[in-house]
Amino acid sequence: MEKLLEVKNLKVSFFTDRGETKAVKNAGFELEKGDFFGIVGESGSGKSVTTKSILKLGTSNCVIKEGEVLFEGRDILKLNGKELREVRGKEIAMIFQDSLSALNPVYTVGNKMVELIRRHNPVGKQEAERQALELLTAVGIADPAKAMRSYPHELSGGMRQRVMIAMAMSSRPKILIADEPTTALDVTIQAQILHLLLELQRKNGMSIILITHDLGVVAQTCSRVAVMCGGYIVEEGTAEEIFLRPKHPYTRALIASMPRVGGGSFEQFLERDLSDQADSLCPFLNRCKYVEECCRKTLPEYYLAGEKHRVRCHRREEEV
Amino acid sequence: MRENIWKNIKLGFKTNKLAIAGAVMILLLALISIFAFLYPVDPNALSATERLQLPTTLHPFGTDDMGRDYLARCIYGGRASLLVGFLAMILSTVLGIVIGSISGFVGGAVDAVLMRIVDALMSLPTFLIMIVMNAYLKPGIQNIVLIIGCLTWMNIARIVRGETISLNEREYVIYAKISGQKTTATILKHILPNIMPTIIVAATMNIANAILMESALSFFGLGIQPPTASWGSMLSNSQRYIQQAPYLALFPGLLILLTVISFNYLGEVLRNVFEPK
Amino acid sequence: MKKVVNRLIQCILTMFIVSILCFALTKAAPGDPVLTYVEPNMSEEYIANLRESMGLTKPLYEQYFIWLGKILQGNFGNSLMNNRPVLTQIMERLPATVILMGTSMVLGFLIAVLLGLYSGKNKNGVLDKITSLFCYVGISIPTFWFGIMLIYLLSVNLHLLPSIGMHSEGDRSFGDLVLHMVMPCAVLTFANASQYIRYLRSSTITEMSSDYVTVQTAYGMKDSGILFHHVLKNAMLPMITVLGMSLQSLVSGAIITEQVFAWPGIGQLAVTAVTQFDYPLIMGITMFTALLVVAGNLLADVLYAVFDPRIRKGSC
Repeated sequence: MEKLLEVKNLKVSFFTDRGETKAVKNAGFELEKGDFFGIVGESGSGKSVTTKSILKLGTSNCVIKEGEVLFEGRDILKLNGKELREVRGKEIAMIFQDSLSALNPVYTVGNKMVELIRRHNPVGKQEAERQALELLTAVGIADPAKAMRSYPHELSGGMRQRVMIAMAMSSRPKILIADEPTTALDVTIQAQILHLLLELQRKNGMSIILITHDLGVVAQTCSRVAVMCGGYIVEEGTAEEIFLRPKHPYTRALIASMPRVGGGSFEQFLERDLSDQADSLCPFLNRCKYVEECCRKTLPEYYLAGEKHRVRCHRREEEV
Repeated sequence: MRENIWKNIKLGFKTNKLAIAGAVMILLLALISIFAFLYPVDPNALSATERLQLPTTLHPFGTDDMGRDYLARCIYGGRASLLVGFLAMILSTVLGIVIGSISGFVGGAVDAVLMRIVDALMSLPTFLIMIVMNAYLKPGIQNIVLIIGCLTWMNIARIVRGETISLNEREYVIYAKISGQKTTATILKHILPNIMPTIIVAATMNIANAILMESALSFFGLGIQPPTASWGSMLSNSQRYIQQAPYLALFPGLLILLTVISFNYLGEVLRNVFEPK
Repeated sequence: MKKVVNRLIQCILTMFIVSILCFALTKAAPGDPVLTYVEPNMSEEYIANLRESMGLTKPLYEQYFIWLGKILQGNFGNSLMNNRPVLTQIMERLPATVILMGTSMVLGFLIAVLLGLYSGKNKNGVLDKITSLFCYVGISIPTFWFGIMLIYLLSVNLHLLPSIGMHSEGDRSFGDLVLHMVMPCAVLTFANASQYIRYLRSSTITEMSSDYVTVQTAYGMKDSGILFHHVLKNAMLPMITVLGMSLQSLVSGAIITEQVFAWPGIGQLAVTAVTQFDYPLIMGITMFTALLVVAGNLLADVLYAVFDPRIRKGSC
């Protein structure tokens, strides 16, 4: 498989009046062609910042301090404005959680779609409109002509997310980053959107990075999963490995806290710890049941728990 | 909660040097106004021989057309301005809180009527009404305070009303109501403490506005009456001597600007502290 | 549609309250209005008749409705100073005030779009800091003092501009008018623009941090394109309301500015009316300006609904 995207050693901080907040302390992963890659973690774990940094989308007080984002061998973080704009939207597209605020309220859907299509393709207005209709049909919108004339607030949440996906697909990107695309939606619509993403991925052979806090969503879609906690990727592997043989105590806690049909043991998930931990220690330290002496001294390095299954933990014991 | 606010205020000032300058400026003006008697010159003492003198060591700000020491007049003028500013602010804040909380808490027809009155007062050009009211009332500090206070409470009333309505829905206020607390007690105990920060910000800026209005009224000869010194009337007077003695116009104007800007800036800093984005 | 009707009813109620306030102020005026018409040789009986014919013996509410009826017909009564109709006098002065206020509103708005958008985009940059200082001075400077200082500098010292009035003696040319307008306009615009800039800056900052900006960046749009195409249109919407709301302070500012520069507008007329205790004229001007402000705010609401699809399609 060819390597499409490689994030190495990423460190991102926010600077405010109150000083520096380290959002991403060390994140790195690889994305291959055709991957459906999930990043899970609680809110504040740095998963969203990590993916926004891939396209340098942080706000002005957000600084990428270290690291490389290699897209087809080129470091995106080193591109100039024009080159960056070529990659954004054309090579790597993105969809977001809140589809209402993601669409400009004062323009119709058609207006924005046509503009977007013409930005990356040298086509006339009518051709762009035709393509827009095609795209909207492809993402399963029943009456695309009507959707084109609508303002964002006139569409339902599921429709808006479909429109967002259509926009993202307009330039046939190689990678689609979906940042909590289904969080704001009903469960039934959520399933439809996930299904749509899977279908599009298979049809177009693109890669998807899905960010979510919902392990259920990951289980339905992803082929590979990274688990983030406190700015670190603490465990990464195939979906099967992660769900069936989780190694990191944090991953286990996450899985244990998933609600299951039929009840069963429901492990109380440990409350999120907001105290500022030392940078060079395990991010799960204060909440971990298996804390040992060495945990308080050094940051664990990755160890391989299987082929392509790495875990950032000091404990290397067998299944519990 | 309270500790947190103090911490925020400290931080707000620490990260903003200009905020400290503003606060120091206000403190300085207040101290000068209170201890005005320490400058042993009568602001109303006339001197036929010392008319329109340029600033000297004897008269640091020079003298005006009647030979009065201009520094002393500036100090006493500031005293009047700050006094009017503070008193008008207190009046408008009290009016605003009372009317706003009644409107928000009682609701219904009372609310509708009160809010239309607010609208009506807000569509009248404030300054025009002030000069009109001045035609009826005798000029003097009490009446100026009354006029300014009665015409500037609307913004605070709107804030208080809005917050009261939104707080009215909160669990702890509903609980207070269910458990049989009196309306006034509920407002005083649960609602007011919550909207205090917003009110403080609005009130600080109202001081700035009141000082501006007082000086404008006095400039028109409708505010504080001569011979009592006031920055506005001093400016009005200085127009006639602008060619011979431009400093007469410079000092009071600069003082108004500095005072008003300090209050406005302080209000803005407090706003950032209370409502961090 | 319902919202529009509601809003109209609100406006009418507001004007109704304004009219009651005005009427109350007239009635509270010291002095007996009959006395202005009384001459020494009139008999007691004649005066009583006069009082009755002026409608002063009727109950207050009846007097109010008679007064209101006249106002609705455009009859604001006659001025006490020169016995000319109040409305005619207001209309004579209106153009001067409208030119002054209109020009400073437009100028202030243009300056605000430039500086507000730029400083909101480049928050905490050098120009943002300078702009912010400019705004603080703008909202804090006493208008009349700024006017005096300008006159001192530009007219008295440098003889560049005429210091007072609207026209030079016997000169009705446009160029002459512009020369006279420079200083009063500058004074009024400075205060105005500062207000507008502050609003536009903060709404630009809000819009800049909204998701659709990130989305457009993610789709490869240029920063300048996002700013002018997306942010500007959204940030402009609240500006419509701000412009409407600024009318009230603009009138206050105009009164002061007209006085300083002897600009022959409504503001100057108002000050004369007050100093002469000319109550019909005072009330006429108050009602008239209040109507202007209410109508302006109504217009702002309508425009907002026209430009914002969320409201336009939602309510009508």
